[in-house]
Amino acid sequence: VNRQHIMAVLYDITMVIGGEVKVKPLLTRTLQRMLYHTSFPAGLALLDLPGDQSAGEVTVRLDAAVGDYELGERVGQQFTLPAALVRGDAALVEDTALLQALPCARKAYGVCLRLPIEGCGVILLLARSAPHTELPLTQIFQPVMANLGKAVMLCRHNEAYAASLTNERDVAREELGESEQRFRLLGSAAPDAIAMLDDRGAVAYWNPAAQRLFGYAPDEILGREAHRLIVPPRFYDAFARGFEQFRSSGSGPMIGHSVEVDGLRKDGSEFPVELSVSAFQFRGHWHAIGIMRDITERHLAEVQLRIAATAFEAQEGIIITDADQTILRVNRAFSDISGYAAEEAVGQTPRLLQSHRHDVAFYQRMWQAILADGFWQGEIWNRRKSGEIYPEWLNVTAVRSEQGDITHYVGTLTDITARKAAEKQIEHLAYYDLLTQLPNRRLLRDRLQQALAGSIRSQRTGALLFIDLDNFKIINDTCGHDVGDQLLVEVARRLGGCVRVGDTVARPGGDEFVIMLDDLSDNPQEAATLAKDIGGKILSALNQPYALAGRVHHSTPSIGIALFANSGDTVDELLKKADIAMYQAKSAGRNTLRFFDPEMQATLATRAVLEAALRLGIVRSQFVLHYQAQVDGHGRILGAEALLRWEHPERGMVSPAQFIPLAEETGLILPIGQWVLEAACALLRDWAADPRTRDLYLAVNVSGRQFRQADFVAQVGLALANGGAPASRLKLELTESVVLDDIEDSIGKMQALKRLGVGFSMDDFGTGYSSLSYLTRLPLDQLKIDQSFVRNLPDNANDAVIVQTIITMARSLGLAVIAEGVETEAQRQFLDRNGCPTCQGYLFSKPVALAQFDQLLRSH
Amino acid sequence: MQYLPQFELERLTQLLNRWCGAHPEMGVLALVPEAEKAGVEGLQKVCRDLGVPVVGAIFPALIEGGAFRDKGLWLLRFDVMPFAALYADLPLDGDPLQARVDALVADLKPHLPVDADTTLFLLFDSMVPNIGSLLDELYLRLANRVHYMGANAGSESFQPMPCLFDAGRIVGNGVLALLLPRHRGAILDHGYGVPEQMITATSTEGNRIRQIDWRPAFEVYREMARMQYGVAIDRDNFYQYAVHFPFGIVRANGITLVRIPVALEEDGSLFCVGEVPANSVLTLLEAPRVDSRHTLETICAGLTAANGALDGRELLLFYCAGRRLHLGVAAATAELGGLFAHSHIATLAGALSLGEIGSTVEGEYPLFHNATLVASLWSPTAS
Repeated sequence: VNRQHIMAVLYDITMVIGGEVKVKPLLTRTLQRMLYHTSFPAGLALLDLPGDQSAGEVTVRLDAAVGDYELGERVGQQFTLPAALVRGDAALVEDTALLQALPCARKAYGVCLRLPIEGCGVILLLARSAPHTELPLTQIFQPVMANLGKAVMLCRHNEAYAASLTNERDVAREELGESEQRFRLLGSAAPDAIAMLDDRGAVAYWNPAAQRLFGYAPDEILGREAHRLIVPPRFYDAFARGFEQFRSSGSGPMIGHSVEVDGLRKDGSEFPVELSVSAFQFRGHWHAIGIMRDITERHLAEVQLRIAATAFEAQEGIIITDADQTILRVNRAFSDISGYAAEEAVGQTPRLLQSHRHDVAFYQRMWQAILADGFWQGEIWNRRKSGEIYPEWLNVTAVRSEQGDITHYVGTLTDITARKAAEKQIEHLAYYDLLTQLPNRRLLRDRLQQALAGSIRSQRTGALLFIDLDNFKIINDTCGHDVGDQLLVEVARRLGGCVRVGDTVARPGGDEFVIMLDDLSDNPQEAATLAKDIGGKILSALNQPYALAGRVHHSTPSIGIALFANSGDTVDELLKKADIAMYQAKSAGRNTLRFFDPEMQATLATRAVLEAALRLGIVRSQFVLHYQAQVDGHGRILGAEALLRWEHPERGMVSPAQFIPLAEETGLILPIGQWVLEAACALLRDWAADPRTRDLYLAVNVSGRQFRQADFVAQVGLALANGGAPASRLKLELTESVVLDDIEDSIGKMQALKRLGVGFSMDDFGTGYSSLSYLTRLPLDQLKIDQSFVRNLPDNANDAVIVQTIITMARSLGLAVIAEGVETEAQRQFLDRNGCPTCQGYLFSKPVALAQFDQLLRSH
Repeated sequence: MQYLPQFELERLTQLLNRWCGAHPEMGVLALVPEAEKAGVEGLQKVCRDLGVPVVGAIFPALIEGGAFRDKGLWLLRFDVMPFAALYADLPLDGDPLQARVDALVADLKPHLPVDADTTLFLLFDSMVPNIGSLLDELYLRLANRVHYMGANAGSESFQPMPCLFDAGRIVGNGVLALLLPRHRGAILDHGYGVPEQMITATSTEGNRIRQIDWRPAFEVYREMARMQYGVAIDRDNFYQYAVHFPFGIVRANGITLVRIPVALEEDGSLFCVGEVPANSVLTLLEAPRVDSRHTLETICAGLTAANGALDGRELLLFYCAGRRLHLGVAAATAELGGLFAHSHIATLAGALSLGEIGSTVEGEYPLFHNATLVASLWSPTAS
């Protein structure tokens, strides 16, 4: 072994020593390498040998042991060893006795290489016998041992320093731990969600409340960008902008403020969040701490409060009292209604509003209901601050505590003055005539009903007066509705002056008035007398001139009176009786009064039956036309007048005098008249086809209602066209009253028909106005002298003069003339002599069916 | 111990059946040559079927009698199967290594007898790069509670190969640990001479020498070979020469640890059989003149000192593959014959190994060697 080998060994051990920073590994590794190099199987290191004695025993601490299991187990322990073994220079100790002091029973070491560690201890390498080596181990390891001694010192310094650092670190760590613990406890205990974001916006802290609020466990959100998880996506851009500003400056729109934002839960639901953000710098980077609170409930509460506040300031007056009824609060509507300002009402009780219209019992019932049911509502009269008493609709609700005790009363009140007035107005509209302010038909019926019932109870007789103004229609049509209305108002006024207080004057409609005289007398005769007296007063009053619209007008009434007592009549029956009586008065020449006559009633009943039959007759085509010839002075048939006949299957042939007025009155004349026109036109078509009859004309009577129809001209034109009849052979007979009803309309229609070729005859001429002024305007072809003038010819001088006048007039006007009702030769001769050879009457032929008329034609 | 020239499962089964009859608690250690590695699964199955505990390893070749064998199988019987454990995937260093050694020692300790000598017999996969460090850690924990012996298994091509097995597994990068009761360890020697020229491995990583004297390892290696021995080594003839010019790690007792370079990397680093600690002072051993006689005498003397006379006893021997490569098969075989003759033993069983573990004297610090013979008695006190 040469010097280089020694250097290699020393180099190796030195490198090991230099590579360790702690004492125990230093010693252990050094021992390892020394055993490796020397072939000693075991070694130990003792540091800090006490004193400097070289004899006896010293207490040592085993700091390291390698290669001996038992020694290895005792590292760190103290035991005694002979000073001669551990003290002294480097040497190979072969004193077995000394070595037996070592605390290892299993190995009996026979040799020991003692290598003092400079300044601090010793290394003992142990072997049963000295391993072979050519190196002077006691010398060559001296530099290593010196190095080791320094290394031990350095390691100890290092360990002490590390220990102090560790201690400081531990203390700091403990303090930090405690601080962190306090922080975490604070965070854990905080009811609000707390999150910390680093400068990247990533979540650095997330407390349990945040987990509860958003649903994310810490391991799901820590380190992740917060806005990706807890901010609704629509706010990403705004968040990014705000955070970018925050990152660079530590400021931002949300920093230092409490704002309301929308949060996003893990389950995707959104909710309102109150967010308070503060900023702080950590290691040169801005961090943010957000404290968040779910304000869903608060929002709901705010909404509820807003609703409650809005409700409180509603149109209804609201009054809140305590359990002692002391007013705590009122709303504006209450003040508006009551006139009391809030400060005037608060502290008072609702008795402030008492009107004294209700008795004590009323209030007792009200409070009983409130206490029993917790609620009362109803109408109540209260008094405003102004003293005005007004009606209101009041709700009172008792508010109870959880224990069931009444704590407050809440009253809501509505001023129903206007409603009451409106109701009254509605009632008035429903029961009174707007024009005259008299009770209308409905109220009349109600009162009549009551009166009938009362009369049964009282056995006293009353009367119902049905009043119709005789010429109201003329005044209304000629002077206008305004004048008509004024007349009605004046009539109403006058009627009111004719009756007793408590009697009812009503206007059921049109120009009709009804007066109900209740409770006249228990003697029907006396009652009739009283009714007649009143009726007389009415006649007198209404006959007085009327000054209307600057002119004086006259109007008369027809009055029908029906008495009522215990007759069992219904309201309708009684009204009908009075109506019938009124017609009787009309029939009696008007401007008079009549009591109800049972015979008249029977007639009307018959009339009703006839009307029904008439309607059925139309449906069943029971009508036929009869024809009465019209002849010239030579007895030649010029044509015929078509006369309507009703062939009733049971009644036989019904007289036109019976059914024509009824048909006129009911309007049934329209379909009947239309049928007559069509039948006549059909006959004219047939006549036109026969040379014997084609020059004949056919006269058809036209009723007033029919003629007044707006499309009458068209109806005639259509009948002619459908029948294919020559219009020139059709002659329409109109009465004066029909034509004069609306002279302008009549002229227009007649001219239009005239253009079609239709001819006109003025029927019943002489019975009406027979005024030349209109005769000249009408496009007439013929005048027909009424049979009433013909009947007494030639003996009656008056009639003879009239007939002569008519004939002269016709001649002067260029009109043809015909006389009807000619029954005797004397009549015919008179007429012929005076210039009216054309006649119609039984002298020539009574009205006959078509077949007979055909026969008549053939016989001529 | 029984050598089976043919790896026949039927014969194997018969043998084990026979042994089981006599030794119901027996177990076996199997040494398998690389050429027969395909038979390991069958061996495992036979043992599992028979309920015989088995552990073993695959080596480049076997030693039977005085010769190397590429075929066949050694079955070394334990009359009572001792503690044996197979640890795979050993960590390289740091805390995982400490933890693994702690676990291994914890496994062993319950099985350590109180008084009797015990040998910790370790068979490593030769690809484990930190065997030296593992031994250091084991020695710190077990110290002189056990004797240490062992060898490396694997492929002579130094290609990774699962080479350690028990009844159910065959693993690589691991260690098979057995506690041999009443056993006084092994004796190891190589007889390589030590030159004067020293160099320092300035950068190492396990069994890889990156730099020597702060220069690429191969550059220094070839320079020293040329300067010291006049040999021109280049990349082409590296594998041819390297086995003859191994590194020696110098120790103070004059005995070097041999590290045979077996692979040359592109960056000039050298892979050796066995770990080279950082800052190791190295020497380049000149095509060593192996003193076989001295080696054999050392081994026999050591074994005799520990176990008494060797006559008629069974010897377990691991012979370094690198040494055979260096000496040549004929010289190596002669060396085997010399040992057989010199020791008067009855049976010589063993394997061609890829590194050896042991001490040059009994009770010495356990070291990992190359180019050595490591020998021990099989059942030294029982047979």
